[in-house]
Amino acid sequence: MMRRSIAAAAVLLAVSVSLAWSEAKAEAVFTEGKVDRKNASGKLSELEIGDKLSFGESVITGKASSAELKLSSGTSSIKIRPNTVFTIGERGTGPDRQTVLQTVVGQAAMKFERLGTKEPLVGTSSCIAGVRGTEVEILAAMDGTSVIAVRSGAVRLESGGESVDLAANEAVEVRPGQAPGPKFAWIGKELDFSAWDKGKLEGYLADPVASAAKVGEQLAFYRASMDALIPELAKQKAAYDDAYARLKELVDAKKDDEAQKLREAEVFPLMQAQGTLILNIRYYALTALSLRRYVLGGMYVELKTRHPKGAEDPAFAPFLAVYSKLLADFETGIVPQLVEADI
Amino acid sequence: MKKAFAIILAVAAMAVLFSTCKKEAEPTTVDECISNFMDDINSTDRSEVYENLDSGSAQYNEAKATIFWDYALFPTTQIPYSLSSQSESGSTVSANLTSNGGLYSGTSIVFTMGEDSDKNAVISKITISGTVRFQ
Repeated sequence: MMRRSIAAAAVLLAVSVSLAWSEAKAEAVFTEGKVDRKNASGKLSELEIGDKLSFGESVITGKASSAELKLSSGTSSIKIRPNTVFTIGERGTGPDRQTVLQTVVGQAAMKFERLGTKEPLVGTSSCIAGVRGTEVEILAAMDGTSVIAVRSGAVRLESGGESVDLAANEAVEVRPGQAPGPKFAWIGKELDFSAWDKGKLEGYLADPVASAAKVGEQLAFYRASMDALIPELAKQKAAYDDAYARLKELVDAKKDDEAQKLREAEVFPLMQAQGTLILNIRYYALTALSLRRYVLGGMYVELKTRHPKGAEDPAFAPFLAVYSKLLADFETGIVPQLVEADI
Repeated sequence: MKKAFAIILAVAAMAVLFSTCKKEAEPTTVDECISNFMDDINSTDRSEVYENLDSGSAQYNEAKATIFWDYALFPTTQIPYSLSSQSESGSTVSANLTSNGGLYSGTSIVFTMGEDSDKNAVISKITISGTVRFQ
Protein backbone atom coordinates (compact mmCIF):
# COMPACT_ATOMS: atom_id res chain seq x y z
CA MET A 1 0.00 0.00 0.00
CA MET A 2 2.80 2.35 1.03
CA ARG A 3 4.76 1.46 -2.08
CA ARG A 4 1.74 2.06 -4.26
CA SER A 5 1.23 5.44 -2.61
CA ILE A 6 4.83 6.43 -3.20
CA ALA A 7 4.60 5.42 -6.82
CA ALA A 8 1.46 7.43 -7.23
CA ALA A 9 3.16 10.47 -5.77
CA ALA A 10 6.04 10.18 -8.13
CA VAL A 11 4.50 9.54 -11.52
CA LEU A 12 5.89 12.61 -13.15
CA LEU A 13 3.57 14.90 -15.05
CA ALA A 14 0.66 12.56 -14.53
CA VAL A 15 -0.01 13.02 -10.89
CA SER A 16 -2.77 15.29 -9.72
CA VAL A 17 -1.69 17.77 -7.14
CA SER A 18 -4.22 19.76 -5.23
CA LEU A 19 -4.64 23.40 -6.04
CA ALA A 20 -3.84 24.29 -2.45
CA TRP A 21 -0.30 22.97 -2.76
CA SER A 22 0.23 24.33 -6.25
CA GLU A 23 -0.50 27.83 -5.06
CA ALA A 24 1.82 27.54 -2.07
CA LYS A 25 4.60 30.05 -1.68
CA ALA A 26 7.39 30.20 0.82
CA GLU A 27 8.35 32.71 3.47
CA ALA A 28 11.86 33.43 4.67
CA VAL A 29 11.92 32.75 8.42
CA PHE A 30 15.68 32.92 8.93
CA THR A 31 18.67 34.35 7.13
CA GLU A 32 22.31 34.59 8.07
CA GLY A 33 25.07 36.31 6.13
CA LYS A 34 24.65 37.31 2.52
CA VAL A 35 21.46 35.84 1.10
CA ASP A 36 19.93 37.09 -2.15
CA ARG A 37 16.64 36.43 -3.84
CA LYS A 38 16.33 36.47 -7.59
CA ASN A 39 12.81 36.97 -8.87
CA ALA A 40 11.32 35.54 -12.04
CA SER A 41 12.29 38.69 -13.92
CA GLY A 42 15.94 38.23 -12.95
CA LYS A 43 15.97 41.10 -10.44
CA LEU A 44 18.37 40.47 -7.56
CA SER A 45 17.69 41.78 -4.05
CA GLU A 46 18.63 40.93 -0.50
CA LEU A 47 16.42 38.27 1.11
CA GLU A 48 15.02 39.43 4.40
CA ILE A 49 13.13 37.60 7.11
CA GLY A 50 9.42 37.78 6.37
CA ASP A 51 9.90 38.04 2.60
CA LYS A 52 7.38 35.99 0.65
CA LEU A 53 8.84 33.96 -2.20
CA SER A 54 6.91 33.14 -5.30
CA PHE A 55 7.21 30.56 -8.03
CA GLY A 56 10.13 31.19 -10.35
CA GLU A 57 12.19 32.79 -7.60
CA SER A 58 15.60 31.63 -6.44
CA VAL A 59 17.42 31.96 -3.15
CA ILE A 60 21.18 32.35 -3.47
CA THR A 61 23.34 31.96 -0.40
CA GLY A 62 26.97 33.04 -0.25
CA LYS A 63 29.88 31.66 1.69
CA ALA A 64 29.03 31.22 5.39
CA SER A 65 25.43 32.20 4.68
CA SER A 66 22.21 30.28 5.06
CA ALA A 67 18.46 30.71 4.98
CA GLU A 68 15.37 28.89 6.10
CA LEU A 69 12.06 28.95 4.29
CA LYS A 70 8.68 27.90 5.55
CA LEU A 71 6.19 26.79 2.96
CA SER A 72 2.94 28.66 3.39
CA SER A 73 0.86 25.54 2.71
CA GLY A 74 1.78 24.00 6.05
CA THR A 75 4.64 23.48 8.42
CA SER A 76 7.06 22.15 5.79
CA SER A 77 10.44 23.82 5.90
CA ILE A 78 13.57 24.13 3.80
CA LYS A 79 17.02 24.90 5.15
CA ILE A 80 19.32 26.30 2.51
CA ARG A 81 23.00 25.87 3.29
CA PRO A 82 25.96 28.09 2.20
CA ASN A 83 26.94 28.52 -1.46
CA THR A 84 23.61 27.28 -2.74
CA VAL A 85 21.26 28.23 -5.54
CA PHE A 86 17.75 27.06 -4.67
CA THR A 87 14.76 27.57 -6.95
CA ILE A 88 11.01 27.27 -6.46
CA GLY A 89 9.57 26.20 -9.78
CA GLU A 90 6.62 24.47 -11.26
CA ARG A 91 5.76 22.47 -14.31
CA GLY A 92 2.60 21.40 -16.01
CA THR A 93 -0.74 23.09 -15.81
CA GLY A 94 -4.27 22.30 -14.67
CA PRO A 95 -4.41 18.90 -12.95
CA ASP A 96 -0.82 18.14 -14.04
CA ARG A 97 0.69 21.07 -12.16
CA GLN A 98 3.52 20.18 -9.83
CA THR A 99 5.78 22.30 -7.70
CA VAL A 100 9.48 21.56 -8.19
CA LEU A 101 11.89 22.56 -5.43
CA GLN A 102 15.27 22.48 -7.08
CA THR A 103 18.68 22.65 -5.44
CA VAL A 104 20.65 23.70 -8.52
CA VAL A 105 24.01 23.79 -6.74
CA GLY A 106 24.85 23.52 -3.05
CA GLN A 107 22.91 21.86 -0.27
CA ALA A 108 19.40 22.03 1.16
CA ALA A 109 17.55 20.08 3.81
CA MET A 110 13.80 19.78 3.39
CA LYS A 111 11.19 18.55 5.78
CA PHE A 112 7.70 17.90 4.45
CA GLU A 113 4.80 17.17 6.68
CA ARG A 114 2.55 14.40 5.45
CA LEU A 115 0.05 16.31 3.33
CA GLY A 116 -1.83 13.58 1.48
CA THR A 117 -1.35 14.22 -2.23
CA LYS A 118 0.10 17.68 -1.79
CA GLU A 119 3.81 16.91 -1.73
CA PRO A 120 5.96 18.61 -4.35
CA LEU A 121 8.75 17.26 -6.46
CA VAL A 122 12.29 17.91 -5.30
CA GLY A 123 15.47 17.68 -7.28
CA THR A 124 18.64 19.09 -8.69
CA SER A 125 19.67 19.91 -12.24
CA SER A 126 20.30 16.21 -12.85
CA CYS A 127 17.47 14.38 -11.09
CA ILE A 128 13.96 14.74 -9.81
CA ALA A 129 12.13 12.96 -7.02
CA GLY A 130 8.63 12.56 -5.68
CA VAL A 131 8.42 12.71 -1.90
CA ARG A 132 5.94 11.55 0.69
CA GLY A 133 6.02 12.75 4.31
CA THR A 134 9.71 13.11 3.89
CA GLU A 135 12.73 14.65 5.53
CA VAL A 136 15.36 14.74 2.84
CA GLU A 137 18.82 16.24 2.35
CA ILE A 138 19.87 17.24 -1.15
CA LEU A 139 23.43 17.94 -2.22
CA ALA A 140 24.34 19.24 -5.65
CA ALA A 141 28.02 19.49 -6.51
CA MET A 142 29.66 21.91 -8.92
CA ASP A 143 30.01 19.13 -11.50
CA GLY A 144 26.27 18.40 -11.52
CA THR A 145 26.51 15.27 -9.35
CA SER A 146 23.78 14.98 -6.70
CA VAL A 147 23.15 13.06 -3.52
CA ILE A 148 19.61 12.52 -2.27
CA ALA A 149 19.58 11.30 1.33
CA VAL A 150 16.34 10.40 3.09
CA ARG A 151 16.05 10.93 6.85
CA SER A 152 12.43 9.82 7.11
CA GLY A 153 9.52 9.03 4.83
CA ALA A 154 10.03 7.83 1.30
CA VAL A 155 11.32 9.12 -2.01
CA ARG A 156 11.10 7.90 -5.57
CA LEU A 157 13.93 9.37 -7.57
CA GLU A 158 14.21 9.47 -11.33
CA SER A 159 17.22 10.18 -13.51
CA GLY A 160 18.60 8.96 -16.79
CA GLY A 161 15.26 7.29 -17.55
CA GLU A 162 15.42 5.00 -14.49
CA SER A 163 13.98 5.29 -11.02
CA VAL A 164 14.86 4.12 -7.54
CA ASP A 165 12.85 4.04 -4.30
CA LEU A 166 14.56 5.29 -1.17
CA ALA A 167 13.38 4.67 2.38
CA ALA A 168 14.53 6.27 5.64
CA ASN A 169 18.32 6.30 6.12
CA GLU A 170 18.98 5.47 2.49
CA ALA A 171 20.80 7.67 0.03
CA VAL A 172 21.88 7.57 -3.56
CA GLU A 173 24.34 9.46 -5.72
CA VAL A 174 23.29 10.56 -9.18
CA ARG A 175 25.67 11.72 -11.89
CA PRO A 176 24.30 14.01 -14.59
CA GLY A 177 22.75 12.11 -17.46
CA GLN A 178 23.15 8.76 -15.65
CA ALA A 179 20.78 6.36 -13.95
CA PRO A 180 20.85 6.52 -10.12
CA GLY A 181 23.88 4.85 -8.56
CA PRO A 182 23.61 2.06 -5.99
CA LYS A 183 21.75 2.88 -2.79
CA PHE A 184 23.85 3.24 0.33
CA ALA A 185 22.96 3.35 4.00
CA TRP A 186 22.96 6.75 5.61
CA ILE A 187 22.61 6.61 9.33
CA GLY A 188 21.20 10.09 9.64
CA LYS A 189 24.29 11.99 10.67
CA GLU A 190 25.11 15.33 9.05
CA LEU A 191 26.47 14.92 5.57
CA ASP A 192 29.76 16.72 5.08
CA PHE A 193 28.92 18.63 1.96
CA SER A 194 32.12 20.65 1.80
CA ALA A 195 34.31 17.53 1.82
CA TRP A 196 32.08 15.82 -0.71
CA ASP A 197 31.94 18.88 -2.97
CA LYS A 198 35.72 19.30 -2.68
CA GLY A 199 36.09 15.69 -3.78
CA LYS A 200 33.84 16.34 -6.76
CA LEU A 201 35.87 19.43 -7.64
CA GLU A 202 39.07 17.41 -7.49
CA GLY A 203 37.49 14.70 -9.62
CA TYR A 204 36.38 17.30 -12.11
CA LEU A 205 39.81 18.92 -12.28
CA ALA A 206 41.40 15.50 -12.82
CA ASP A 207 39.23 14.87 -15.87
CA PRO A 208 37.25 17.95 -16.88
CA VAL A 209 36.42 16.56 -20.31
CA ALA A 210 34.64 13.53 -18.82
CA SER A 211 32.72 15.71 -16.34
CA ALA A 212 31.63 18.11 -19.07
CA ALA A 213 30.56 15.16 -21.23
CA LYS A 214 28.30 13.91 -18.41
CA VAL A 215 26.66 17.32 -18.19
CA GLY A 216 26.27 17.05 -21.95
CA GLU A 217 24.35 13.80 -21.46
CA GLN A 218 22.02 15.50 -19.02
CA LEU A 219 21.47 18.38 -21.44
CA ALA A 220 20.78 15.82 -24.16
CA PHE A 221 18.18 14.21 -21.88
CA TYR A 222 16.38 17.54 -21.45
CA ARG A 223 16.55 18.12 -25.17
CA ALA A 224 15.17 14.63 -25.88
CA SER A 225 12.37 15.19 -23.34
CA MET A 226 11.49 18.44 -25.10
CA ASP A 227 11.75 16.94 -28.56
CA ALA A 228 9.42 14.11 -27.55
CA LEU A 229 6.71 16.62 -26.68
CA ILE A 230 6.96 18.65 -29.87
CA PRO A 231 5.25 16.06 -32.16
CA GLU A 232 2.54 15.68 -29.52
CA LEU A 233 2.04 19.44 -29.63
CA ALA A 234 1.74 19.30 -33.42
CA LYS A 235 -0.85 16.54 -33.04
CA GLN A 236 -2.85 18.57 -30.54
CA LYS A 237 -2.61 21.61 -32.80
CA ALA A 238 -4.00 19.62 -35.73
CA ALA A 239 -6.87 18.39 -33.53
CA TYR A 240 -7.54 21.97 -32.43
CA ASP A 241 -7.50 23.23 -36.04
CA ASP A 242 -10.02 20.55 -36.96
CA ALA A 243 -12.28 21.36 -34.02
CA TYR A 244 -12.02 25.08 -34.69
CA ALA A 245 -12.95 24.58 -38.37
CA ARG A 246 -16.12 22.83 -37.22
CA LEU A 247 -16.76 25.58 -34.69
CA LYS A 248 -16.39 28.23 -37.40
CA GLU A 249 -19.01 26.49 -39.52
CA LEU A 250 -21.44 26.51 -36.61
CA VAL A 251 -20.67 30.16 -35.85
CA ASP A 252 -21.18 31.16 -39.48
CA ALA A 253 -24.46 29.22 -39.54
CA LYS A 254 -25.43 31.07 -36.34
CA LYS A 255 -26.01 27.78 -34.52
CA ASP A 256 -25.02 29.37 -31.23
CA ASP A 257 -26.02 26.59 -28.85
CA GLU A 258 -24.19 23.90 -30.82
CA ALA A 259 -21.18 26.20 -31.16
CA GLN A 260 -21.07 26.74 -27.43
CA LYS A 261 -21.25 22.99 -26.76
CA LEU A 262 -18.36 22.39 -29.16
CA ARG A 263 -16.29 25.11 -27.50
CA GLU A 264 -16.76 23.60 -24.06
CA ALA A 265 -16.44 19.95 -25.08
CA GLU A 266 -13.57 20.10 -27.56
CA VAL A 267 -12.08 23.44 -28.50
CA PHE A 268 -11.22 24.81 -25.05
CA PRO A 269 -9.92 21.47 -23.70
CA LEU A 270 -7.68 21.10 -26.76
CA MET A 271 -6.31 24.61 -26.22
CA GLN A 272 -5.65 23.76 -22.58
CA ALA A 273 -3.88 20.54 -23.57
CA GLN A 274 -1.64 22.55 -25.89
CA GLY A 275 -0.91 24.94 -23.05
CA THR A 276 0.12 22.04 -20.80
CA LEU A 277 2.51 20.71 -23.42
CA ILE A 278 4.03 24.13 -24.03
CA LEU A 279 4.56 24.72 -20.31
CA ASN A 280 6.22 21.28 -19.98
CA ILE A 281 8.48 21.99 -22.96
CA ARG A 282 9.38 25.27 -21.31
CA TYR A 283 10.06 23.52 -18.01
CA TYR A 284 12.70 21.31 -19.65
CA ALA A 285 14.19 24.29 -21.49
CA LEU A 286 14.44 26.37 -18.31
CA THR A 287 15.93 23.46 -16.34
CA ALA A 288 18.51 22.99 -19.08
CA LEU A 289 19.26 26.71 -18.86
CA SER A 290 19.94 26.36 -15.12
CA LEU A 291 22.27 23.42 -15.80
CA ARG A 292 24.11 25.33 -18.49
CA ARG A 293 24.33 28.50 -16.38
CA TYR A 294 25.21 27.17 -12.93
CA VAL A 295 26.92 23.84 -13.57
CA LEU A 296 28.53 24.03 -17.00
CA GLY A 297 29.26 27.73 -16.52
CA GLY A 298 30.78 26.96 -13.10
CA MET A 299 32.98 24.27 -14.63
CA TYR A 300 34.28 26.72 -17.21
CA VAL A 301 35.11 29.35 -14.60
CA GLU A 302 36.84 26.84 -12.31
CA LEU A 303 39.10 25.62 -15.09
CA LYS A 304 39.66 28.96 -16.81
CA THR A 305 40.92 30.55 -13.58
CA ARG A 306 43.50 27.75 -13.37
CA HIS A 307 44.45 28.05 -17.04
CA PRO A 308 44.22 31.73 -17.94
CA LYS A 309 45.88 31.21 -21.34
CA GLY A 310 42.69 29.54 -22.46
CA ALA A 311 42.74 27.67 -25.77
CA GLU A 312 46.52 27.95 -25.98
CA ASP A 313 46.87 25.88 -22.82
CA PRO A 314 46.92 22.14 -23.65
CA ALA A 315 45.34 21.43 -20.26
CA PHE A 316 42.39 23.65 -21.14
CA ALA A 317 41.94 23.13 -24.88
CA PRO A 318 40.27 19.66 -24.76
CA PHE A 319 37.73 20.90 -22.21
CA LEU A 320 37.13 24.00 -24.28
CA ALA A 321 36.40 21.86 -27.34
CA VAL A 322 33.75 19.84 -25.45
CA TYR A 323 32.39 22.97 -23.78
CA SER A 324 32.08 24.76 -27.12
CA LYS A 325 30.31 21.77 -28.65
CA LEU A 326 27.83 21.68 -25.73
CA LEU A 327 27.16 25.39 -26.12
CA ALA A 328 26.55 24.90 -29.84
CA ASP A 329 24.14 22.02 -29.11
CA PHE A 330 22.44 24.14 -26.47
CA GLU A 331 22.06 26.94 -29.00
CA THR A 332 20.38 24.73 -31.58
CA GLY A 333 18.42 22.40 -29.28
CA ILE A 334 17.37 24.41 -26.24
CA VAL A 335 17.57 28.10 -27.12
CA PRO A 336 14.65 27.95 -29.61
CA GLN A 337 12.40 27.18 -26.63
CA LEU A 338 13.79 30.07 -24.59
CA VAL A 339 12.86 33.71 -24.90
CA GLU A 340 14.89 36.84 -24.37
CA ALA A 341 13.25 37.39 -20.99
CA ASP A 342 14.65 34.06 -19.74
CA ILE A 343 18.20 35.26 -20.22
CA MET B 1 14.68 88.63 -27.06
CA LYS B 2 16.64 85.50 -27.82
CA LYS B 3 17.42 85.12 -24.11
CA ALA B 4 13.73 85.39 -23.15
CA PHE B 5 12.81 82.83 -25.79
CA ALA B 6 15.48 80.48 -24.47
CA ILE B 7 14.14 80.85 -20.92
CA ILE B 8 10.55 80.17 -22.04
CA LEU B 9 11.73 77.14 -23.95
CA ALA B 10 13.66 75.83 -20.95
CA VAL B 11 10.66 76.34 -18.63
CA ALA B 12 8.38 74.57 -21.10
CA ALA B 13 10.83 71.70 -21.39
CA MET B 14 11.02 71.39 -17.60
CA ALA B 15 7.22 71.41 -17.37
CA VAL B 16 6.94 68.62 -19.94
CA LEU B 17 9.68 66.67 -18.19
CA PHE B 18 8.04 66.93 -14.76
CA SER B 19 4.58 66.07 -16.04
CA THR B 20 5.99 63.00 -17.82
CA CYS B 21 7.90 61.89 -14.74
CA LYS B 22 4.82 62.31 -12.60
CA LYS B 23 2.77 60.22 -15.00
CA GLU B 24 5.40 57.46 -15.05
CA ALA B 25 5.56 57.42 -11.26
CA GLU B 26 1.83 56.64 -11.03
CA PRO B 27 1.24 52.94 -10.52
CA THR B 28 -0.64 51.12 -13.26
CA THR B 29 -4.32 50.87 -12.38
CA VAL B 30 -6.44 47.76 -12.83
CA ASP B 31 -8.17 49.28 -15.86
CA GLU B 32 -4.86 50.28 -17.41
CA CYS B 33 -3.43 46.82 -16.81
CA ILE B 34 -6.37 45.10 -18.50
CA SER B 35 -6.25 47.60 -21.33
CA ASN B 36 -2.50 47.06 -21.80
CA PHE B 37 -3.02 43.30 -21.73
CA MET B 38 -5.73 43.50 -24.40
CA ASP B 39 -3.48 45.73 -26.52
CA ASP B 40 -0.71 43.15 -26.23
CA ILE B 41 -2.87 40.18 -27.18
CA ASN B 42 -4.25 42.19 -30.08
CA SER B 43 -0.72 42.52 -31.40
CA THR B 44 0.85 39.75 -33.45
CA ASP B 45 4.01 40.30 -31.40
CA ARG B 46 3.17 38.68 -28.05
CA SER B 47 6.60 39.23 -26.51
CA GLU B 48 5.29 41.82 -24.03
CA VAL B 49 2.18 39.99 -22.81
CA TYR B 50 3.99 38.60 -19.78
CA GLU B 51 4.82 42.11 -18.57
CA ASN B 52 1.18 42.48 -17.52
CA LEU B 53 1.35 39.37 -15.35
CA ASP B 54 2.13 38.81 -11.69
CA SER B 55 5.73 37.60 -11.55
CA GLY B 56 4.68 35.50 -8.56
CA SER B 57 2.27 33.48 -10.67
CA ALA B 58 3.17 29.81 -10.85
CA GLN B 59 3.29 29.80 -14.64
CA TYR B 60 4.95 33.19 -15.07
CA ASN B 61 8.30 31.94 -16.34
CA GLU B 62 6.80 29.42 -18.71
CA ALA B 63 4.24 31.91 -19.99
CA LYS B 64 6.95 34.27 -21.19
CA ALA B 65 6.88 32.18 -24.38
CA THR B 66 4.70 33.82 -27.01
CA ILE B 67 3.63 30.40 -28.32
CA PHE B 68 1.78 29.80 -25.05
CA TRP B 69 -0.56 32.72 -25.71
CA ASP B 70 -0.99 31.84 -29.36
CA TYR B 71 -1.75 28.14 -28.84
CA ALA B 72 -3.37 27.99 -25.43
CA LEU B 73 -5.38 31.16 -25.08
CA PHE B 74 -5.40 33.80 -27.77
CA PRO B 75 -4.54 32.61 -31.30
CA THR B 76 -3.32 35.48 -33.46
CA THR B 77 -5.77 34.34 -36.14
CA GLN B 78 -8.57 35.56 -33.87
CA ILE B 79 -7.37 39.16 -33.56
CA PRO B 80 -9.03 41.47 -32.64
CA TYR B 81 -10.19 40.38 -29.21
CA SER B 82 -12.57 42.62 -27.30
CA LEU B 83 -14.10 42.77 -23.86
CA SER B 84 -17.64 43.83 -23.07
CA SER B 85 -19.66 44.22 -19.87
CA GLN B 86 -16.43 44.70 -17.94
CA SER B 87 -16.92 45.02 -14.19
CA GLU B 88 -14.60 45.08 -11.20
CA SER B 89 -15.36 43.47 -7.87
CA GLY B 90 -12.74 43.16 -5.16
CA SER B 91 -9.64 41.70 -6.75
CA THR B 92 -11.38 40.37 -9.85
CA VAL B 93 -12.38 41.86 -13.17
CA SER B 94 -15.13 40.02 -15.04
CA ALA B 95 -16.03 40.55 -18.67
CA ASN B 96 -17.28 38.86 -21.80
CA LEU B 97 -14.64 38.02 -24.37
CA THR B 98 -15.26 38.04 -28.09
CA SER B 99 -12.82 37.30 -30.89
CA ASN B 100 -12.94 37.98 -34.58
CA GLY B 101 -13.19 34.37 -35.74
CA GLY B 102 -15.81 33.16 -33.27
CA LEU B 103 -13.48 31.22 -31.00
CA TYR B 104 -14.81 33.37 -28.22
CA SER B 105 -18.30 34.76 -28.46
CA GLY B 106 -19.27 36.64 -25.34
CA THR B 107 -17.34 34.00 -23.37
CA SER B 108 -16.93 34.66 -19.68
CA ILE B 109 -13.41 35.78 -18.72
CA VAL B 110 -12.29 36.63 -15.20
CA PHE B 111 -8.99 38.32 -14.39
CA THR B 112 -7.80 37.93 -10.82
CA MET B 113 -5.62 40.92 -10.08
CA GLY B 114 -2.62 41.40 -7.86
CA GLU B 115 -0.04 44.10 -7.23
CA ASP B 116 3.68 44.12 -7.85
CA SER B 117 6.20 45.65 -5.46
CA ASP B 118 5.69 49.08 -7.08
CA LYS B 119 1.92 48.88 -6.52
CA ASN B 120 1.26 48.35 -10.23
CA ALA B 121 -1.81 46.24 -10.95
CA VAL B 122 -0.86 42.91 -12.51
CA ILE B 123 -2.83 39.86 -13.62
CA SER B 124 -2.43 36.88 -11.29
CA LYS B 125 -4.94 34.50 -12.81
CA ILE B 126 -7.05 34.20 -15.97
CA THR B 127 -10.19 32.09 -15.89
CA ILE B 128 -12.06 31.49 -19.13
CA SER B 129 -15.48 29.89 -19.16
CA GLY B 130 -14.96 28.71 -15.59
CA THR B 131 -11.60 27.05 -16.20
CA VAL B 132 -8.34 28.49 -14.89
CA ARG B 133 -6.11 28.96 -17.92
CA PHE B 134 -3.23 30.90 -16.41
CA GLN B 135 -2.09 31.32 -12.81
